[in-house]
Amino acid sequence: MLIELTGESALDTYKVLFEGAFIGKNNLSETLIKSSILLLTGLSYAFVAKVGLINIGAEGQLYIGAACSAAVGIYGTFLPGALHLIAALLAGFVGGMIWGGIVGFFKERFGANEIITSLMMNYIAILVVSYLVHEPMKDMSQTYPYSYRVATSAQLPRILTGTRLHAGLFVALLCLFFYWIYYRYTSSGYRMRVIGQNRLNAEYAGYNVRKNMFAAMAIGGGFAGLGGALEILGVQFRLFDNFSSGYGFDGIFAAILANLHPLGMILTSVVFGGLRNGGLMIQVKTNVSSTLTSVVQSLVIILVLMRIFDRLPIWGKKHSNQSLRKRSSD
Amino acid sequence: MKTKINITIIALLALILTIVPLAGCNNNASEPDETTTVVTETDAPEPTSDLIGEGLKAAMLLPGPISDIGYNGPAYEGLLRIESELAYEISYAESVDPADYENVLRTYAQEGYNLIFAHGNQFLETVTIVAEEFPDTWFAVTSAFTTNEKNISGMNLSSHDVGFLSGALMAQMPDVDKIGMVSGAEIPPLVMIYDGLRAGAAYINPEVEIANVYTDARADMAACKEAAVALLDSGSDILSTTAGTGAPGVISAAADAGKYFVGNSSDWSSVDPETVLNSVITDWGSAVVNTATLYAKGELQPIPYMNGIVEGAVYFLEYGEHALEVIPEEVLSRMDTIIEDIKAGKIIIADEVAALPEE
Amino acid sequence: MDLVLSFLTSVIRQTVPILYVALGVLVIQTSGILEMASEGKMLLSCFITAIVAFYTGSAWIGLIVGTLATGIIGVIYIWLIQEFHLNQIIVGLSFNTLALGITSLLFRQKYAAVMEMNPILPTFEFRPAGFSIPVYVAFLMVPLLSLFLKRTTPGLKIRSVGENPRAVESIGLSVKRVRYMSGFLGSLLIGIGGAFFVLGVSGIFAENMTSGRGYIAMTAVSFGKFTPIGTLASVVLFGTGDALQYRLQAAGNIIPHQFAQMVPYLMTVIALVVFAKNPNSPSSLGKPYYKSR
Repeated sequence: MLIELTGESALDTYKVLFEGAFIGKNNLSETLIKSSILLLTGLSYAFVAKVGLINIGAEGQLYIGAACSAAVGIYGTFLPGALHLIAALLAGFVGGMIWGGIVGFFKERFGANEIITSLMMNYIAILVVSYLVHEPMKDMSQTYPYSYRVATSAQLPRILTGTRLHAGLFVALLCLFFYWIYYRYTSSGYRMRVIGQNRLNAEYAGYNVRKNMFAAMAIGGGFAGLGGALEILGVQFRLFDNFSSGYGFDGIFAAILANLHPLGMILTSVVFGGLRNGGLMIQVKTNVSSTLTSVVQSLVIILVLMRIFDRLPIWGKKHSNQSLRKRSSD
Repeated sequence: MKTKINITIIALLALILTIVPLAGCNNNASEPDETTTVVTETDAPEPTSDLIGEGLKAAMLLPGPISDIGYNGPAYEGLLRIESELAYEISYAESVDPADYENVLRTYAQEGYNLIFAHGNQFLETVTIVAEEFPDTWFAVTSAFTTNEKNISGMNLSSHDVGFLSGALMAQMPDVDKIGMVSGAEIPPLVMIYDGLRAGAAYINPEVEIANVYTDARADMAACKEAAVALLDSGSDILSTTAGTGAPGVISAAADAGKYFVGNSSDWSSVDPETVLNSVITDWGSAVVNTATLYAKGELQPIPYMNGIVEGAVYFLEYGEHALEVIPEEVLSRMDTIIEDIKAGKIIIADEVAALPEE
Repeated sequence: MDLVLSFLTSVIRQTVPILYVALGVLVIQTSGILEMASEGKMLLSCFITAIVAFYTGSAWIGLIVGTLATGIIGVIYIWLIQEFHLNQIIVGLSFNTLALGITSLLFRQKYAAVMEMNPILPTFEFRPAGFSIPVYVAFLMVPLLSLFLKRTTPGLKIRSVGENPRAVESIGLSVKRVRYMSGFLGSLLIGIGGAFFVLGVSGIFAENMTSGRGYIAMTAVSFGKFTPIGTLASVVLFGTGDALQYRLQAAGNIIPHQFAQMVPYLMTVIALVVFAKNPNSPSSLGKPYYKSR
């Protein structure tokens, strides 16, 4: 009934969302740009989640990573050619690592709840960046508080002409590959998984739980920092206030929805990137208000979580399904 | 494992399919609402406006929500006015993320929009890039003091003027030694209001002290009230704010302490007529309509347009009944002189601001 | 002296709404549900309360309706979590986005124009010693809740469900029923927090007006080691930090304002490092519970 009454406009809206997300070289590139950052912030959650900690500080780690890579990108012009870019990317990773590492250190040394500290560190990071772009890094030729522009030698090369799609996509995929190999095939990855599954067992086995937790927080933070580096070196080229708009949190969504599975994370990141871009296009091309888009998006997430589709065909299998899924994802 | 994930994804996509119809439905239901209010608003003053925008399309990018007070809200209303008064076809994108500026601008240009408003200086750099690719599209950037001299116009309201007027009034009120300012954020338009306020106060009395507090991202009423109370505790005798929606918090703090408030951007007197002395109006809506009118007539130039007190785009409202009781007669007449002097070019606000000591 | 008094009033004004929400979160968390939705619930309560108070002209009716509505929303939320075994972090965060979207949408389309004419909502008239009744009730709630959780049967049930749901199940109690109860009670408290915030503190409704206070409340609970007294202490700590940072700024340009703004967050991190040796969280917190067969 509802669809019949308003069928045309509804269908159009849906079409705009889908086309805005995936159809056409430009839209697809925009989606992929967003997805690669979501993938990295998602990884920062996933990497830490494997040892049984909850890192919701991806947003802050992303800001600090962005600030560090911007600093190298702007002031490190003495570095030759590709080395400059690599150094800027590394700086992003290190920045995020430090910010995540602080949380890890507090957890390791004092047992401070990592959820709260990482959340608080988000606010602090945003204020640090705000200070940087207003005072030491401010480009005086600009009215708006921007940092100087990142030197061309530190900008990520575009990989598809006519679009903004940049090589950061490969960086993100490389990190994902590392995550997959690390937890699947290396012994230290195995140790971390054991710790995540049962801390007591791990302690009996003689693993250094606290050290591993610290390491995981730092590396996870590094991934998010790299996400910030991509945003600065690939898209924005300048650092400024509030540049991120919640990449950190959306990345966490993507990681959890995929049950931390590497392939799943690619898919959910792309879908979330698509939702961002498609939602934007709905605003641009139709008269549907953005508040409505956000209502729809959150409803979608909740409904997906409810796994209505799982429930419909086999009603009774729910429990075994659920526990199975938990196991296999770990 | 893999199949599980695929199910989730399929579910996700399928759900988008099923839910978006809902969105469309709501949209349709709400649209008549909006247009009817617009029609009633604009019917009365200008029943016979010529529809010079017929066949033209205008789009607007806003950095914040269209529902805010004083910045994005008025610009959006201007956009609605060019739809109803000039018959432009309109579209807008609100709360646009910095990462999406280029994408949104390019999409609008590709969709054949003739005139694209970018409401904020932060858009300028990206607009300059995109404007090169679309020489037939015209861009109007807010607070742009330089343009590419081809197809970008600057649409400016003088924030210095806004601050100057309120500062001059505040410094003249009896027993005012210190002015308290709650700033919304450290961004150019708001910093310029603050600088203008300092200049206006210094023009009256160089001895007046001024204290400033920034609220952070939570620039809401409760946070602004706390900031205002802190200012009052530090000895401020009168308050102002650039925190938009947070202003009622500042007004309420002033009222609790028995102090006065001078507002800007919007008429704040309805919040508390006994505390709000007056508000300086920044008429973004008219700026948008003027730009669109010029464009439709083919007269828009690629220059920064400046609208201030002289142009009648920045002005004090009529003083309210209560304000007239508490503001001394000589202050009112001096304010009139100051405004006349500004219009006559005897006071150059830019010079006054430039003469300020470094803070 | 006046300055000290004003400072304390500032702290109290900041503290009371967050305290209500935090106590509500505490009740829900104690039963083992990871309550991430407090931000959204608080915002919904603000919205419903504002509308009701605006049209009835009575702060008290607004408070009661807003509170009850939030309680019902809380039950629905628990139903979602319990029946569908949702990931409690994601569903909480999405719920908050949803609440923000819905309230903004409705406010823009239906009420903004009406309420602009007369934005100030009715307030609580009776104010002994300068504060309205809900302020006193908030602080009274702390020992009462302590007693409730430690000494009464329903309180004990809530706690044991949070600690060991399987044991509770084995003595024939329904875990779900207890969690519904705690969800309802906790959401009532969150509802009062939202209602008091809109009526007693801001006096006007605006989009996204809670702006993160629900998360601060959530933080305060784990920070307060899941006790009402600890929660009170951490809420007051944060309120003090906030009141302090505005005064730091008002005193003049001593430090860049961004660093002043960091004060409440830094204080939280430092306090966490100093005090948080044993996080005393309920053992089953956030883990979906599957009824044994």
